[in-house]
Amino acid sequence: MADVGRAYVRVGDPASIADELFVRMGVDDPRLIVVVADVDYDGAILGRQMCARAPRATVIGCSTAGEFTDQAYGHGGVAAMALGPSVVVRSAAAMATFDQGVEVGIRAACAKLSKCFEPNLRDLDPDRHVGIVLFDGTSGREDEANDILAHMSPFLSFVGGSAGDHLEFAKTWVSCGSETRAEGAVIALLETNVPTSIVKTASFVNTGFRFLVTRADKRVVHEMNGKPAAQAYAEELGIDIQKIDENVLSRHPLAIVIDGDPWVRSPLLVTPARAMVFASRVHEGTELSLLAPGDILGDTRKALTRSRAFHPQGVRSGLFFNCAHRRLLLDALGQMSAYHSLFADHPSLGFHTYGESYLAHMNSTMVGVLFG
Amino acid sequence: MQTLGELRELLIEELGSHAELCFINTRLILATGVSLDDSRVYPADGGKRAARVADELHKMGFLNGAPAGDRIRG
Repeated sequence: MADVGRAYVRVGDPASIADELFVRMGVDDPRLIVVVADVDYDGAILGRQMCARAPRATVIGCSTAGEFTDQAYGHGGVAAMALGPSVVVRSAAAMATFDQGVEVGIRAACAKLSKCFEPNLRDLDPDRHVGIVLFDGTSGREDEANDILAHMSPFLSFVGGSAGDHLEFAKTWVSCGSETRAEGAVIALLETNVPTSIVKTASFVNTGFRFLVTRADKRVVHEMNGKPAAQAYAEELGIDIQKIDENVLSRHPLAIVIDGDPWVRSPLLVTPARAMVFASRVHEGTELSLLAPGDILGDTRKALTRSRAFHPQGVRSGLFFNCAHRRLLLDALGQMSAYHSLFADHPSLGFHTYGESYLAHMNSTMVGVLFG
Repeated sequence: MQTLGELRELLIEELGSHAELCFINTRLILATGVSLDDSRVYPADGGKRAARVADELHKMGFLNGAPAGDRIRG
């Protein structure tokens, strides 16, 4: 039996899907199973079926805007990855509910994880531990949740994404074992037997022009450079404010640039008051750089090559969280097949997301974790 | 109220590692919009930016003057 496996099943009832996934993954005693599925599947039933077949595994999952492995890609199916004990020494996961607020939910989930990873999360060795976090894709709580994760364990990396639903942005789910939530987050923590590395690429070019955010509230930026945000944005692009549409916004997002690396904040729309609504939080006083379209294929290849170089013995597997906007762009460019071939060097599982997380919530990005 | 530069010095003293400082600083920038390395002066700011950074560092369990065992628990 293998110690790493993945499979993609396109149709079936939950029991037959679970059976087929297990046979095709071929991992005898998995310690972690990640399941990503079309939103029309019931995550609780899928989770229960997977748990029944792998009693020692932590099982987490979410709905998607498309799924992929190194062998297949599409949407409307169920994909899964199983990691055995040679990769994951121990694992635990907890559902964070947001009913009593994000902070209460994330702290409670971290407290559950702490019982499995004593003495506490903040003292764990970041070289041997990595987190995976799956958020629901519609409640917009990712910014605050990432902050709380940083408070609980400032040196640990949590990598993940927000669930999707056919690009309808109506209802998504996340699952932990057989529990499913439409609003919440699943936090998994792994102690690994192998080195891990983080992949992150946004595939945009920095134009060099910067805006100072002079008035903002959570995900709404009212003013940049002392002007209505959309006015400042339009002026820099040299277009009339009425010409700002979805195409302009997706081609020219803004980003916090740290050491040359863009952490993208995607503008979604312009309000009648000429404010801009973003898909992630922006603080007053932040400097945002204006971006222009880059080469998704080339940049992703470089990012993967860079991260794979951390594993001279080879990469055993990778988990990837790819922005659904990138999927749309790749579809439009006819590059989807070429894109997925980039993940074919080793067993991979990924899905198209409504937001990506690594240290913070971001947009229009691909993040992932490689297990060496 | 400490300046950003003073906060940076206190944090590096506590962490003792520039690699860890860079990691935490990235988290800080993303969480607050402010870098510990920002040496610019904002006279109209009234210290709000440094206060925001200090608050975030405290929430992360740093600069609290408490031994490691008394920091925020996971």
